Amino acid sequence: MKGSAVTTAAIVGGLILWEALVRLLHVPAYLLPAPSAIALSIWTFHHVLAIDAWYTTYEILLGFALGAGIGFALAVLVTFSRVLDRIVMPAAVLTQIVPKLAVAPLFVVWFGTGLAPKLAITALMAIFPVLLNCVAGLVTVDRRWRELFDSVCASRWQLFFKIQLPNSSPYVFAGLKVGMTLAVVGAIVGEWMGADHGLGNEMLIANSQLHTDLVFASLLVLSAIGLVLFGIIALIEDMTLPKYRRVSVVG
Amino acid sequence: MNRIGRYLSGATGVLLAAIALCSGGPAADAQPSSLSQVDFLQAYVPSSEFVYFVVADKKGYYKQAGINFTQHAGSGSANTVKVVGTGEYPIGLADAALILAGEQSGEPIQAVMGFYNTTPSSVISLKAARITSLQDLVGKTLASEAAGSTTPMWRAAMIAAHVPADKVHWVAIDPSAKVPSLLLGKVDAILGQLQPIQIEAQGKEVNIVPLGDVLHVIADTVFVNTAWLHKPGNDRVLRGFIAASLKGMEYTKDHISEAVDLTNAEYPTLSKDVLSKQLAMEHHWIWTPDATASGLGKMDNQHWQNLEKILLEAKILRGPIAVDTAYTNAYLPAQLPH
Repeated sequence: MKGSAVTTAAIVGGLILWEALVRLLHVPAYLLPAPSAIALSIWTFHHVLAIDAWYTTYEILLGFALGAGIGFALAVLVTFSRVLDRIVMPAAVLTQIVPKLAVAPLFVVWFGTGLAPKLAITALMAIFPVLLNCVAGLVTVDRRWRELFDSVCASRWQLFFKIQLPNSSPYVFAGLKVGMTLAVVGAIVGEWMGADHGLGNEMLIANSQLHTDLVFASLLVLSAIGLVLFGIIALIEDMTLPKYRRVSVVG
Repeated sequence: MNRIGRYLSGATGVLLAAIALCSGGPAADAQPSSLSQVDFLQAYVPSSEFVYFVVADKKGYYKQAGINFTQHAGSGSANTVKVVGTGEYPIGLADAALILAGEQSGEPIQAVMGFYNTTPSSVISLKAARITSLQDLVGKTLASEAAGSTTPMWRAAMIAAHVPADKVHWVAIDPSAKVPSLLLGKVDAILGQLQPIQIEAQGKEVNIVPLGDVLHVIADTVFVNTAWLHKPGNDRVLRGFIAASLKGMEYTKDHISEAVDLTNAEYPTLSKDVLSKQLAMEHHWIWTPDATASGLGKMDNQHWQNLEKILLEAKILRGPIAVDTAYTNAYLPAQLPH
């Protein structure tokens, strides 16, 4: 059986088991709705969920682009300057440790309830993995390459563009993939702090009415968005870095 | 193209796509208008509190008052007070307790119209628990959120009812976990507002002990950013907004089914049945005997004083506050709905 068929069979089997358990054990819908109820909710509110999905995707993409851009730029600066390394890295670790749910209300006060606080939270979530991975990639240079460049009196920028940057690409993509998944979380946290649209906003409305099937429907749509965006980065990685394609060691 | 070039072109493509999205994105929906724009920030996500304002909008009351009205979801009264205080929104709806706390913190805000004229908070329990009075809570487990004014209100109600609150096992709980916890028997009672509708929807009977039976306080009110208010012409806009909103509230009282339909058209995921039941409950918090006698929207000084006293005892307020300047009835229309 091919890999995709195994995955499909596992998902379908899991859904059938879930449906059967909910029905047999009479689990109340407010605790855990059956997959059929979630599917019905998606069908009933597909037009609302589509609009919400558009808003959330928009926030994820913009916030991610902002966070990844800042993360990459900081990584380059950190690589070039030890002083900046000692300033930026501890600050980056601190921002990662601080629970975003705790600071999100402050973002609403600082930036209002529009797009800005959502972008700020989303970007904040995405910066750290991109920064950390980019730094790891940029500083990991084979000693022989460095010696070769030193022997021909190559400039610092030549070393950077010819060796460090290409060498960091697999690390950069690893950071982008982690950053993208965190950006999805960031957009939802941002919407929970105040929004007129979006899947996070829809979850709050549904939850306030104990409409748990719609909460799950929103989660399912959100998961699909996250998977597609993650897949796009993986696809770009595959297209641009054939050398680093994964080789499975599992039989 | 070498690998770096491909990588950079890929990254550039993503950024260009993001910028393209930005230029045609959902935020770009503002339209020029000769009407005065009023952005109204609610206390929370869409629910029955939105209905009255949706009705006023759809019936054209705001347009008649020269207002282009837009309603926005909030994320709790505390945030609404802060955001209106920053001036991003001129008008909002929030718990009066947090308006007082905001004023003490120096927020440039003032309450201008009563909305809930009694506290909507109640002790809610399953019928089987036989909690029909505050006295019945002794020895039982009660759950409510740690933040906000609901729990201090309950403590004040216990004092007013001469029942020792320390004989009740109170536990802090996330608001979204209150109803499931009660239904699963994890707690005996919860403090809440509209939760009985959710509980009854699960086929369970409910006992409600309204805190408003023993507490006479103002609750949710419409408030403004005073810096916005003092700009030329905005007092006229505010008067128009309040008059139109009160008309919406009065129309809703007499046309619940139509009001629910109008709101559902605006917010399709809100259940019509739930909205109707929420409006029926809210009716008692809005159309109180006091509000009916003095006119809807008019705020009672004694109710503000009582609220201040509770907040001082709960240490939500750091010290006494000039309640007389915390609110004003000056922008209400001469003829109020009764």
